[in-house]
Amino acid sequence: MNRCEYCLEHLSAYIDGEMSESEMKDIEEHLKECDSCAHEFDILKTIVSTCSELEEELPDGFSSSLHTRLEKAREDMTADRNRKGKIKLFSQIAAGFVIVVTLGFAIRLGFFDTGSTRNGLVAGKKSASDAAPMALGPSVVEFSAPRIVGQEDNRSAGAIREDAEDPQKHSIAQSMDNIPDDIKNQEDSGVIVHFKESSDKTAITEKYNTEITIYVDDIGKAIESIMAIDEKIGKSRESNTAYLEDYIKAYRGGTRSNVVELKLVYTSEKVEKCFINEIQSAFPDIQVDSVPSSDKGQDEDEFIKIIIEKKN
Amino acid sequence: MDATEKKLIELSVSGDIEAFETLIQSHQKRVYNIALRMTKNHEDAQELAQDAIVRAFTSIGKFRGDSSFSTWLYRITMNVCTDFLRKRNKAVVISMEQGAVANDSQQSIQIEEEAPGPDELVEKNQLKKMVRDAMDSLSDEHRQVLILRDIMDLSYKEIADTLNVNEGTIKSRINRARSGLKKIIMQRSELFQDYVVKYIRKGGNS
Repeated sequence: MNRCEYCLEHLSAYIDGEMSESEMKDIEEHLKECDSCAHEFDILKTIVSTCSELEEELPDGFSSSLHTRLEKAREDMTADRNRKGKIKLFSQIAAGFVIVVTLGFAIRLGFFDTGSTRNGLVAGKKSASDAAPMALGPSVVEFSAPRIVGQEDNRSAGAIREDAEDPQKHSIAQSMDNIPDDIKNQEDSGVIVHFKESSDKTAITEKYNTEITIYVDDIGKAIESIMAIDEKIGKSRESNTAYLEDYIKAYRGGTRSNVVELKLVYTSEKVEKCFINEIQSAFPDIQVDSVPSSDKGQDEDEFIKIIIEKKN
Repeated sequence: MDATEKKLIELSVSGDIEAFETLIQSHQKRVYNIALRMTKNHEDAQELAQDAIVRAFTSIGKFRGDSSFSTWLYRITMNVCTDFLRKRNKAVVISMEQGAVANDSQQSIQIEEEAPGPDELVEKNQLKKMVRDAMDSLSDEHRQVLILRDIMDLSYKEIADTLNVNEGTIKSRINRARSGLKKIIMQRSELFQDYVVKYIRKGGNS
C-alpha cells in the first residue's frame, strides 16, 4: 500500500481521532506534502462536520403527546405490578364449580365458539357433581346452563351475586368484575378465580397438574423458600431437594435471568396439595386459577411447574 | 453521573413522570434526530422517538449506570429504530442504487434552482441539505454507523459495543460509509467542491 492509499483508508479514523499518536502524526505529515490527499481531507472534514450539525427541531406538540404516552405507560406499569402470582390447577375433570363460572364468563366475553361451548358445558356439569369438596349446591350448575345457551349477560352476572351467600362465592362475584382487564393481560384466556380461603376448598378432584406463578423481588430468595417448603414436606420422590440445590447454585453462580422455571415431582396428590397449601402461605399474594385440561398441560400430568418471575 | 441526574433517575424509577421529563429534557431532541435520520421521515421519527423514550421510562429500573444515561437512552432509540427498519424492509425491498439513481436528476435540479446566494447562511443550509439527502441515500447499515458516530458522538469502541461487532469492523465501516456519502454528494453536485472551498476559506470548518 502506498502512502496515499494508506492515508485515504485512514482519513476517517484520523478525523475522529481514533488512532495512535504516531499514526496521527504520519497522516498529518503526509497531508502537508500531498495536495490530492489534503483536498480529500478537506472534503471529508466538511462532510463530517456538517453531519454533526444536522439536528432539527422537535416537532410541535412533541412534549405534550409524549407526556400523554408516559402517563399511559405508567398506568400500564402499575397494573402490571399489581399482577399477582397464580396457582393454576389443570384438572383432568375440573372442579365443576370453577368450570361453570369460567365457562359462563368466557362465553360472556366470547372466548369460545358455540361448538366448544357445548362440549365445555357438558364437562362442567358432569364434574360439578363430582366436586364434593366444593360443597356447592346444584343451583350453581343450574344458573349456568341456561345463560350459557341464552347468552344473557346481565342475568348471569346477577345470578351469581344473588347466590353469593358464603364468602367464597362472594369473592368470585367480586372478582368477576375484575376479570376483563385481567384477561387482557394473560397469555392464555383461562379465567382467574381468586381464592382467599384455605386451598382445602380448591376442589382438587382427580389427577391434575399445577402451574404456579409467583412474582417476587428476589428470585434467589423465592427458590430458597421453595426449598424450605420441600424440605418441610419431606416427601420428594425424585429428589427435588438435590434438584433445587443445583438450581440455586446455578442461579447464584451464573446468569441471573428474570424468569426461573422449576419442575417438582411429588408422590401423591395429597403431598402436592400440601405443597400448594404451603406455597400459598409462603407467598400470600397469590391467586388460584383452575384451567380446563382441554386447554393446557395434558402432557405435564405429573409435575408441579413453578414459574418465578422478577417483578419489574 | 451527577447528583441531580441520579436523583432524577431514582424518582423516575418510582414512576415520577415530571422527574423523568426533566431527565430527558436535554436529550429528547437528539433522540428525535436519531430517529429522523434512521427513518427519513418526520412522522415515523416522532412515533419512534416517543416509543424509545417511553421504553426508557418503563425500563429505567434496569439502568445500572454502566454507561451514561444519555448513551443508554440513545442505544434504546437505535434499537427501536433498527427494529422498525427491519420490519419495514421486510415489506418493501428497494435497492439502494436504484433509489439513489432515481433521486439523482431531481436532486441536481433542486440544487441549481436554489443557486448559491450571497448569504453565507443559505450556503450553509444548502450544504446541510446535500449532506442530509446523501445520508438518506446510504444503506441502513452505513447510515446507522454515521448516526452513532456523528450524531450520537460515540467512540469507535462504544459503537462496536452497541452493535456487537469488533472495533476494526467499525473503523472500516465508518470509512466506507463516509466514502459512500462523499461519492453520492459529488455525483449529485459538482458545485459541492466550490462549497467546500468557500466554506473552508470562510472558516466555517472547525
